[in-house]
Amino acid sequence: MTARRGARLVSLGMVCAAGADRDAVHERLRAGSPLPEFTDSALASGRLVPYGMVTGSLPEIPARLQKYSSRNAQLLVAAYQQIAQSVEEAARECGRERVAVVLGSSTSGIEEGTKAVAHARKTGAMPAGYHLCQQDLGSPALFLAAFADLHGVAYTISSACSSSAKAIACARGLIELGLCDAVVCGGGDSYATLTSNGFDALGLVSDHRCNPSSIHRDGLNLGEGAALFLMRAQNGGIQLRGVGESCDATHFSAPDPEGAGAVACIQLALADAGLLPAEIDYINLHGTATRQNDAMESRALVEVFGEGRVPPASSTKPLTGHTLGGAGAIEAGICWLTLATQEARLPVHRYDGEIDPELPSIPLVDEGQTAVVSTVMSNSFGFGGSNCALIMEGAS
Amino acid sequence: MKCFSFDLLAWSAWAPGLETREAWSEWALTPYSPTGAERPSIANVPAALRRRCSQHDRMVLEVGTNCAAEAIPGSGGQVPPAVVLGSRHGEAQVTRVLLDLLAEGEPLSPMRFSLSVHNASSGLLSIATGNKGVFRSISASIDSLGAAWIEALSLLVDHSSVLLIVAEEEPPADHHPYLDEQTAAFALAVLLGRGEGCQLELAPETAPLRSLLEVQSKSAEQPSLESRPLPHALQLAAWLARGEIGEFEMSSLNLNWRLAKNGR
Repeated sequence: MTARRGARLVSLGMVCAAGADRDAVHERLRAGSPLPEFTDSALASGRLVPYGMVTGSLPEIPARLQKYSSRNAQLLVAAYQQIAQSVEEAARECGRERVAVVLGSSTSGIEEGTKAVAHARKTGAMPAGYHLCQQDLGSPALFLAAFADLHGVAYTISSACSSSAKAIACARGLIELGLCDAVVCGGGDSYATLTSNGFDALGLVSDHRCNPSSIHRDGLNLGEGAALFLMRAQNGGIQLRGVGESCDATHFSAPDPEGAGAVACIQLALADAGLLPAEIDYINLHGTATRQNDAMESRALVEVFGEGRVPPASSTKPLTGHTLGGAGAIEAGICWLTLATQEARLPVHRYDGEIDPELPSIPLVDEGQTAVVSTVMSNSFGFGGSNCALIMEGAS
Repeated sequence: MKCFSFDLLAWSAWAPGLETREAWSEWALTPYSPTGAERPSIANVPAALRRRCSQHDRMVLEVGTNCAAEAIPGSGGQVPPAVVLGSRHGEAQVTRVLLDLLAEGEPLSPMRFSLSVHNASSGLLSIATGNKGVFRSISASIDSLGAAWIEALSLLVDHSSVLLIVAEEEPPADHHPYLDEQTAAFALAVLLGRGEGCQLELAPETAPLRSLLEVQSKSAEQPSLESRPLPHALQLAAWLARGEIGEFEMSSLNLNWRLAKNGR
């Protein structure tokens, strides 16, 4: 293996139910902050369930890029505006053709496609404003590259709930390959009738705020949002230190109950980072609050880190909802915020406090818990048995 | 300009009516867009898995395992632990069935929903072959081959071989007016290994960037479907089927691509 180039996560932009921008999300992570309001979302089954919707107004898509216009594209612009200045700086220094865009998404603008199909079934024609580019899975990256006038390679990773974690891993690969000097990476998913009803059909959606690791947990809340980083081939600052990817090869929509795929990707990420398990200071859990995920994930962590040696961990899904293809980037964003602050506070594990005694014990972060944090891990596990772990390291 | 060297260890392609190497060789003399709803049999895949596979999934499994088997005869098609799958349309047909159900107010099948994700075919390939390695599922409109290829080069840094697959079903008919290339049903797998057998040059595009030319497209202004270019992956299949003679060129991702075998 050749020596790695630096992969500095220079800046972060994000938007999700937890907050309209990076600072608002950071504030939400503070101990004692109220949980964000989730929106009541009606399902075809007649259920009304909480959904982590972005409620504020979103930027308009410019007229020249109307064919890409979708709520997903609007979320990406809202996140991009927060990093635009640092991207322009990189483009000036390296050249626009040396800045790539690699995003993860599972929805793209499928909601616009859903409405168009319903319209076509009534009227016999797709609506006038519809374009396939609204829902193409490649569009998030192609749109953002056109929006930001970046001329490096641009493409989308779509592997369900691990999409944007993998996009961050791929961004580092592009820098390693020498094909670019900077990458806008991350991703986002937007509200979709299709995914809401699909997860309902799978019996995975809770009627209440999700309750990760609790004995009372009964499923996930979906959410929407986007998070983008500017990654540059530089040392210093906050670094993407290691990535691990694996496949369960057991089932397409349920995790391997033994957690073998999760164990493998976490071990690969540690090996890639050249770190021992004891050197990880905090873990952001996938923590969806389904029966299966939380059981599998706790088991996997105890296997890798050892009983009584798992670092402080929390699920931040009660603050954001499960943003699916956007979750890996949003949770990497939460890790970035945790590393960027000098206050040494950890994102709190928000639940009813009644830990499931059946779960292998992992130390869930309490209100007000502090720690010196220099190295963090974020886990993502998706449909298709697609797993990805990211390790990030703060400025020393 | 960037140059990359690698070996082309094996390739395999499948399309309706093009099921043998001989058929592909003949097709490559005058390439056209293969269409049709026929599916490969994937007889080696367990029946319980096979009956859940869309045409897209079946083609991915067919070319993925055949390509690996060709590279290492007797290996039984053991796919290397690094796989990249590029597709523009992915599971567009499965997704359309779900959108129709939603429009009718009908309940969704949980199985069909799980298999509508873009990485369904790579998940199925991992299950069918017991492969627990790195799978990356990519989409980049008409540049999906280019994007998947770049990811394959990236994975070759840490892996001795990488399986690159591009597969497309024909998208639903009402998507056709929005397309800028011919529709086709096909899959192509290429096994890349570390080595010096081939050289790929990637040079910045000199023509105006596509993103700068973009205007809101209206279906009425589009050229007829037949006069649009073949998907890049079919152009590559033609070069491979003709015996990898001369250069393969394409314009993808704002880059000019030139691929040639070394020592010819």
